[in-house]
Amino acid sequence: MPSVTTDAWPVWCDAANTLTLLPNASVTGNNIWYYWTTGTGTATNQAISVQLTATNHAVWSQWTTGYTVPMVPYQTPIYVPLEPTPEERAAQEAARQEALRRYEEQQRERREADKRAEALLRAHLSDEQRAEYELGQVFHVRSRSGRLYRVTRGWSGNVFELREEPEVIAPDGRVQQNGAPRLVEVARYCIHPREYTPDADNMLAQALLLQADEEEFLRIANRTRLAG
Amino acid sequence: MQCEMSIMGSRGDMKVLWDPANADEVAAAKAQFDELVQKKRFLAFRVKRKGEQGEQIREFDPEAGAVILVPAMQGGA
Repeated sequence: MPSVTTDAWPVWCDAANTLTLLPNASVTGNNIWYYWTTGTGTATNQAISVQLTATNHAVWSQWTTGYTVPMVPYQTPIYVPLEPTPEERAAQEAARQEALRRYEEQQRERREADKRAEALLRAHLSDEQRAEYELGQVFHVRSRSGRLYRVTRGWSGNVFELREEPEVIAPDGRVQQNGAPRLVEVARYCIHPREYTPDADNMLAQALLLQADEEEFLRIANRTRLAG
Repeated sequence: MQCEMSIMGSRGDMKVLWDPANADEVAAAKAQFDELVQKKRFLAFRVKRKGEQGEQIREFDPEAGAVILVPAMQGGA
């Protein structure tokens, strides 16, 4: 073990300063530590809570001069992992396999749910809606009030209210658009079932409510205005 | 004639089938309908195929043909 035999402590406390240390003690002379180590001397202390005031660095030098003070250098703790026993290894591997099995089962159930939802949605789309959906995972719904909505694939914020801008006839009689009205998204709606359902079921639910009770749809949904 | 009720859920829809001429099957389907619509606030839509506009129903109709039950809806983020 390393030891200190000279004035290590003086470099710790400045000789010109009065240093109050914790625990505190009253020191009447610079030999207090010497006396402390030899068993003689005067020191004022208060049991375990010792009041100590050092007025110069010589206190420490008295303590250390001529004595070998064993010091335990600070060492960064070294973590030595314990090797698992064969039984622990087996248990860890079994837990890993079980977690993997559960994950794969959840994935399989999710794929099955998506497949069922897709079939239900497609069974209740018109031919035109189905063609749109197969092309781009979106379809349009006309409500009873005549408004047109675009239902896109997703769970939230996936329904858009559209404004149909008529074709523009130029002064020379030419149609400036290709004959089909331009569809402008004017608002986005966020509404979905309280319980999780696959995306395709969510889209069907939105379409059904829009068609059957547009007022209720608009009352429930959170609306974000998009275009002027 | 076979009628069916598709109940939406996290695992896709669950089908409940009944024959309007079979009183037991009608009673079972009605019990399930009432439990979901009256107590759990599911929305029920009587639908036809091919995107024809369906209508919302609040009472079980044994002759409904095809019904879709949707969990109560809420506004999202």
